Amino acid sequence: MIKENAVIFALLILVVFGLSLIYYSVSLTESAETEIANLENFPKGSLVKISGEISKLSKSKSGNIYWTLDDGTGKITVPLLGSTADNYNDVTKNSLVSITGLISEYNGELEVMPKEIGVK
Amino acid sequence: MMLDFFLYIFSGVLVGIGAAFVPGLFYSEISLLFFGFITDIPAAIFIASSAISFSLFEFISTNIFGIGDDITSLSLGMQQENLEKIAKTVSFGAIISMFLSIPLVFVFQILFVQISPIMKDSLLVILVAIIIYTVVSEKTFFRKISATLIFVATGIFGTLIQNSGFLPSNLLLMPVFIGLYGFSSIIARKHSEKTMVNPLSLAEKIKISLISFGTSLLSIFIPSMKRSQTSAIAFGLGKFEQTESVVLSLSILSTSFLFISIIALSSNSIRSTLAYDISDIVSGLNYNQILMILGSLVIAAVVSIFLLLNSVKFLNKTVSRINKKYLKMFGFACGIVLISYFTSWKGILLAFVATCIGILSIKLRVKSVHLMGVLLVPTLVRLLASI
Repeated sequence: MIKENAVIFALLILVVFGLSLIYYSVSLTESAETEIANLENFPKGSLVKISGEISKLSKSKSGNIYWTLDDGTGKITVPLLGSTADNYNDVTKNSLVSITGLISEYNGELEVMPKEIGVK
Repeated sequence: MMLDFFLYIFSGVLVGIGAAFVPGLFYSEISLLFFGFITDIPAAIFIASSAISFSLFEFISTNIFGIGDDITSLSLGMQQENLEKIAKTVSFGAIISMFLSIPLVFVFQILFVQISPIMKDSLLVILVAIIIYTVVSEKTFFRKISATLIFVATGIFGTLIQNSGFLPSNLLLMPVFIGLYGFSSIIARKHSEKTMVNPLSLAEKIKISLISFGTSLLSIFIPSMKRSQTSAIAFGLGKFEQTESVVLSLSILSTSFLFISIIALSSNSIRSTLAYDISDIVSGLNYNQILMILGSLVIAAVVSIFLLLNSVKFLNKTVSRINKKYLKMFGFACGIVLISYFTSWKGILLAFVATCIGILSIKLRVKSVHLMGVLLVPTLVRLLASI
């Protein structure tokens, strides 16, 4: 019984240590700066940085905002959901922005889910 | 013409079976090699056939080698020594899900337009209710605490890694599930602890089928819902544990996911890798073409089930001749090689943590459904963030 408890305790320590290590490793993950045309060469879930002009801007009834970003090489949708949309409500069409986010797919189309947004 | 049709189906089925028995290989990767010779609808029929045979046979290969994809990994540590029983359950599940999925062709448009917005709005409430229900329904106080601990640990784990850019999303769950369900079971589950197969009554089978199929519909209504996430919800709802019910549920989810994603193409909605591949091969499918692909999927499923039930007897005999210890070691080695090759040290780190959590859940005698926190919590966090 004591041995079993020691194993459980050791496992708990290992889990906490492992999760901390993952947290640290995730924080070191760097984004790859790229052009929009190259995005399809990245696997989905990759962290990328793109910059460009908001060529189209639309809002849904639920308050989400969808930017279409154009950098001259291509276009990509950047969805701003929930509180993120509230924070960037005043950004207008033709604004220059840089987005660090994850490449994802919605209905067969690529999009970049933003993690960091910079308005120039 | 008819002969060609069956040739595409049969060759697709064989390709799917071949891919299922090579750990780490996906049916679409082999199918790509054939697309120099076939295009358009024949190519769509070919890849759909390979997808269904792959999905059925992967349950067997996963339980032989101890490693599988996001869905089949969930059946690990349960019935490795009873391949025939797994094959029968998987086949039963596939047949049930075909019967339940096909009528959707006629009502899909109505369902999609009317139910989709309601489901999107109520998913958060459903998820929270399922999470509370699975923890609270544990019998003793110690079990409740242990279940909460495992759920929180897997939840933190999932939230840390999902949407982090740590690994590409298509590779992220592979080391996690191999660790949680495969490696932990190989290391910590003693032979005598293995849950024996309890025959399910017809009423139980119907209950499991309806819960699993109903949950798989979430993948239509909520575009971001993946197959593994719907299985997490089905497990939480039905409290499926280490018995035949898990395999039956997974088989229904897996098969109906393929059928539903083809049906969803009638609304130009892409809900699976298969649907994406098909829409890539043939753009703007009409209703008749969708029916034709669905028909080929049914034929391919029937052929696959026939081959599965007949080949598994031979596989069972072969596997039973191999020393279980060596088989486990081989599975473990395959898992390590696979994770290292595709995901490098990052995947090894994830598999290590997942294995520790998996062993902890076995030692604490916590039901494996609580490990699904790895998917449910990140989904919950994402939904909360989008409010």
